[in-house]
Amino acid sequence: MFLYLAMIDSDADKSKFEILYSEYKNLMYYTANRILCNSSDTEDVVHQAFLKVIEILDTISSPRCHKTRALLVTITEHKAIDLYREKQRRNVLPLAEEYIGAAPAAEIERLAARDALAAAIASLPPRYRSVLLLRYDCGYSNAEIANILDTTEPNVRKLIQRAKEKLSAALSEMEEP
Amino acid sequence: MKITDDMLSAQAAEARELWLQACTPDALPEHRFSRKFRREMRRLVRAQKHSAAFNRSLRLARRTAAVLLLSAAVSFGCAMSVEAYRVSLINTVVRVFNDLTDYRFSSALPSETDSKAFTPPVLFDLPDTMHKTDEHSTPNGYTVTYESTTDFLDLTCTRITDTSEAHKLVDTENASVTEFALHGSPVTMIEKNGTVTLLWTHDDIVYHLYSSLSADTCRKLIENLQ
Repeated sequence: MFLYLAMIDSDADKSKFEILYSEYKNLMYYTANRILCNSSDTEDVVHQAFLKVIEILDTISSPRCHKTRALLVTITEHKAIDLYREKQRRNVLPLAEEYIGAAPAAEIERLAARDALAAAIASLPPRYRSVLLLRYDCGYSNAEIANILDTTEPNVRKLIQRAKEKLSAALSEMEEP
Repeated sequence: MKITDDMLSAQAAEARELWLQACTPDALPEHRFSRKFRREMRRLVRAQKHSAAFNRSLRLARRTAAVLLLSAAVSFGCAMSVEAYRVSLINTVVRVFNDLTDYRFSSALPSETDSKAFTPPVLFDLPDTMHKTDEHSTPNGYTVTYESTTDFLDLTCTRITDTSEAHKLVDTENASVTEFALHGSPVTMIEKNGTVTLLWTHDDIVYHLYSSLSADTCRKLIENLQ
């Protein structure tokens, strides 16, 4: 980044946004590029994501924590998916499109030795997983979630409801002999 | 099984960790971002470093910048005697009250130097850490870029003739605008978010310098430009 930043020793001397930028820019690039597979589009998305981060900067208490990491990845992922949809003609099955950007199911299964619900949440399509984590992990209100994801509050409520239905169906399937 | 809010609250943190571990590699590849991206992010970072009070002051300075730009535009008109330029000058003035200011340079007079090859200018006394990274010449124009690990400088020169027009769009929202004279020609300097834009004309050439170097450094560079 900037040479002079290297000479600044403490976080107190750097702005919160500088820390977020230096800590997460590569992760955000990686996240968006996984979806878009295009460097120029990916950089545009990362830039847009940081603009959104600026809007909600006051809600981020700790720049270096896993919640913040997840928040920035969520924002980037949604921006990338939006751009992907804009650029693609809708000739894919809705279900396939729904899972764009989802974490590999096999990988989640490998990591989730214990809790089926946590694994099920992590396996949800991005738009359902995002609203659940923003609401129940980060503690954002529906209005704040709507602002972060550039959607409406009624849509957020609907997504949360549908996410719960999907989780219920997934867990019921697991319980069946 | 009915999924309750309590169940989700209890498992959300673990779900977040599972998801992050599954979708990001242990060793994240380092990406070299483009110059355009780095420049845009520098602006954002610098803007965020300023306090809210400072940003309010900048917003108030916007009106002052608009008035100063109007004065600069009138000065340009007084320095030039070509009627066609006065028409363009009016266009520039109209655009100054938007977030951007559009400078349009045109001439009704045929260029006397049209047939001569364009001689690229030479910048002296650049910081030692800066190196030329890009250069492009055409019969009526020249662009050069210098960069270091922390700074950049773009210099563009465009010859105006009766058949060509130069057009520069400058972001002047919340900018600090000043004017000074260079070899008898007025120079407009726009400072914003740690960058400096200098715009001036000499003979039939429009010069545009854009840099992250300090205003004083940029001013000295163009004073020594050959």
